[in-house]
Amino acid sequence: MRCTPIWPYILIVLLTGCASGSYRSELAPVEEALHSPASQNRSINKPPPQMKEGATAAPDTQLVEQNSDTQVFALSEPAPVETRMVSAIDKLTDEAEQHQRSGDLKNAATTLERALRIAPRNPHLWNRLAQIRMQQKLYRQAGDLAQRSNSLTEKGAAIRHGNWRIIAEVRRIEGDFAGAKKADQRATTLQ
Amino acid sequence: MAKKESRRKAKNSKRVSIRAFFLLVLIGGLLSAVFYGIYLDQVVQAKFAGKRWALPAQVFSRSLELYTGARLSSDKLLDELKRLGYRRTTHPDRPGSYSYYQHRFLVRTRGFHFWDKKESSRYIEIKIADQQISSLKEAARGAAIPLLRLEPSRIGSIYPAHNEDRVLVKREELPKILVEALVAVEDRSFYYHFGIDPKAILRALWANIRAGGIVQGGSTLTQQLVKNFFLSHERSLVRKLNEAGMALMVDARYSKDEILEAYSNEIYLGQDGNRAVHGFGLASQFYFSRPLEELDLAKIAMLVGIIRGPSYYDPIRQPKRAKERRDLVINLLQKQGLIDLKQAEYAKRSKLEVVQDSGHRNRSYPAFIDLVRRQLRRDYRMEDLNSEGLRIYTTLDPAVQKYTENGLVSRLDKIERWRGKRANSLEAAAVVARVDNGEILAVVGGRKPGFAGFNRALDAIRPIGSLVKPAVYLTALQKPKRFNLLTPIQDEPITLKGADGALWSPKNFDGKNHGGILLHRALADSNNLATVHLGLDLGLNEIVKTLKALGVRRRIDPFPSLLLGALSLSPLEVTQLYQTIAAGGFKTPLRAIRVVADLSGKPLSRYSLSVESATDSGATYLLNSALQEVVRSGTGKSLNALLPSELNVAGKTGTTDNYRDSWFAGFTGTHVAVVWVGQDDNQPMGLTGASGALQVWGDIINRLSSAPYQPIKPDSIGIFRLDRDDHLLADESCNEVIEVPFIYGSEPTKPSACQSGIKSFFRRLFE
Repeated sequence: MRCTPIWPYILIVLLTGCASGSYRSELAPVEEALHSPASQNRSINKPPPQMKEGATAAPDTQLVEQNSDTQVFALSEPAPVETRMVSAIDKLTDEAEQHQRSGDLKNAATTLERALRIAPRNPHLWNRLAQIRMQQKLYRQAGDLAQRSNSLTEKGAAIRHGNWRIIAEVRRIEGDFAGAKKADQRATTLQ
Repeated sequence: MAKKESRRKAKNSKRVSIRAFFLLVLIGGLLSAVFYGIYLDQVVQAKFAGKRWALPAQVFSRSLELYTGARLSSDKLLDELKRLGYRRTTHPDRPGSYSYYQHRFLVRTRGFHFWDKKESSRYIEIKIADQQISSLKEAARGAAIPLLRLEPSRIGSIYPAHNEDRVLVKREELPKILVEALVAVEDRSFYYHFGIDPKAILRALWANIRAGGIVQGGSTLTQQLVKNFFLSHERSLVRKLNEAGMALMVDARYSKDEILEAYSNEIYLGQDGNRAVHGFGLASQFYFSRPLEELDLAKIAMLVGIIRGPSYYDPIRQPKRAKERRDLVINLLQKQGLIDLKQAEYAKRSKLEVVQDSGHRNRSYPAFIDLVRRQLRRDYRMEDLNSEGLRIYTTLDPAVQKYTENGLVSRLDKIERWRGKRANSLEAAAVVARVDNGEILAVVGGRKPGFAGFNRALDAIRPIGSLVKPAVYLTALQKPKRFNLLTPIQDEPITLKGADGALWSPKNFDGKNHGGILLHRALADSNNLATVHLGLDLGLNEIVKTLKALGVRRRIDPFPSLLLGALSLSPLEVTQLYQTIAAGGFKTPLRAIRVVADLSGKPLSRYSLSVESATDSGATYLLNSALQEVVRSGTGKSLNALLPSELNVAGKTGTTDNYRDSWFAGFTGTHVAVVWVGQDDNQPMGLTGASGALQVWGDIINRLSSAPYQPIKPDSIGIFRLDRDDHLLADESCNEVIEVPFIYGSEPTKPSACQSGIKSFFRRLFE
């Protein structure tokens, strides 16, 4: 059996030892779906990124049992992306788009909420909902939704550009010009 | 002569006055008859032309979404179909039927008019593998279906003070055999009489005289309708006259079809607690859990049969009587040639098939409906709710509700048995919601979930004990310059002045003082003294601010006892608090309603998803890693015996003074749930959060298809490898390493002694 050094697995590996490292795969992955209207936004479809702070082999399993005071922290990464429900999400985003085009923003939002019930961790859906709220002039809500979308992405994800633009716009409307400038900067640097 | 004449005159004038008298009486009688007729006509017209019934609001559950990749086991889908009253058969040929063999379902769906669009009836094939839908397509053509909604369950209604509940049906929706049976049993000459049937009255009179009492009624369907519509149930001659008069008017004014439709919606057909079941539409749902058009001959015969006495022939409590009565109706239909012998025999062989725990009973979800009502009452007038036929689409997940009820009830029984407690001495409440959108999936208000009593989930406002502690630690972690997970916290005895001026010395649960304890461990072990020291250091107003940000709306007094949970909240309020934590600091107001639509299906109000960035995402991430530790190795570790460790559950136990309240609040990747266990009289019951509420919580979550908790690391968080002993930066040469998340800038900057260069340097120094 393989002891994967990717660190979402570290906790489980620690608790169960390498011997049972494989039962991670029996676990149904977190529901997650992707819909990317623009093909350049496929970033979350990639496999989960490797550790940034330097990959390590799983530490000694004895460690946890020996010392209960300094234990190992739960460190998790986004669950593997589940792509099987893509067609459901595609259908709903298409529907939402149609509503949006015909000016029926309420139904567009309701349809996106339905999609979010299926794939709550899809940042594109949160971004779309933020856009609709902008159109509905529900600015503060739009800004919060854009932040929620950001919170579901990795640094540098293309979707963040749009989110920071929304946040900048909202801050401008609310009169927070310094904050708006900062958000604009983040949009361009994609931090 | 003169005498004779005068006598004749007198006789004549007497005759005239008698004639005049009779004439007057006649005119008067005619006039009053005309006025009476006009009056009756107006009464009849007012009722018929206007809105005939105050239509209760119908409350629906969530609808099950089917799509490839949906988490759904065959058992759960079978459960859902059963709940919706789908008929299992070998060839699903009618809407509302399905077949199942080895994880393959063929379903003929019913179709439903949602507020946003219509789902039409379809014939579909669903395959299930690994507890997921692996394929979803049109059964006939094989085309893949991206997604599809089953219809929601009708979970209750909000009906007016006179407690009449009904689901309207139109004349064309009445099955042919139902109309035929009605006429055959209740009013054979319905299509020929003019509202009353003198022959039937004479027949009944004769039968009653012979029997020496009332054994038969001669009322036509029209009279029965009039009686139900306008009149009281007293038996008097005046009422009988009114009834006859109105029946004539109704028959003259309205067509037989209109009368049938009104009758079918008005007729009283049963009782559900204090709620009266009126009309065939609701009765069909109430007794059989399916729409009227799907009923077979036997079921229709039963409904027609019980009209004569819905409580005497109550199919639930008097199944034998109901079946005899039903068979009588079937025989009658056969005798009149409406069905043939074969059909009659077949129908009589079938069981009553009355659903015992139909979701269409109002008693099914009293705690949840109570919540819906309260939410609605803020936005609607009561008379609109109980008369306008509103359609209320809620977030209730009947499956989750069932697992929550079962988990709670069975675990309380076990706890009482194991601990030798008196049976039913404990009470409990539970709320389950979705982390990401705040939708409330289940509410249990007590251990008799079907009993509409004290709704503890909403109304048991109890001290939350240690459930408050995450707010203290979150306040600290939001100040990364001063606090991180490894910051040592003072754990010394302390004496404080309480709100009443009395002195107060909090103790640790284990009675020990640990001197200093690391922040993450203090939370995992629910250390009281460390929490008090930390909270006082941060300032009580800061803690209050955090609690408000997390979603507490109630007034919070900034007394030191707040730090140990002298804050009273309902389980529902605690759920909001923990939803914000579970969603990484994004508060989403909890919702029980999605949409309220009018009778035609047009949405009147939508309760849409909203989020608010409430607490710092980095600090919340750190808090949650400590809350996972609570379950892994802290006060909540007994949960590991109940749940698979892959779920990565995070949560917090809570116990109040002298074991009066036992709490557990926690979350997975998809669900946030809160359980309270205690006694209604607020007496000590000897359970901690871990030995009471946590056990219930574990049993509930175990039954749901919950996803593991796997938070996404915010940008502000870095993971650092530290030496296990000195908590300084480690490198590859270090053997005992821990990985700890920090908000950037708060991490240790010095290298650990274990680093190879330094280690050898020190070694050289000391050797």
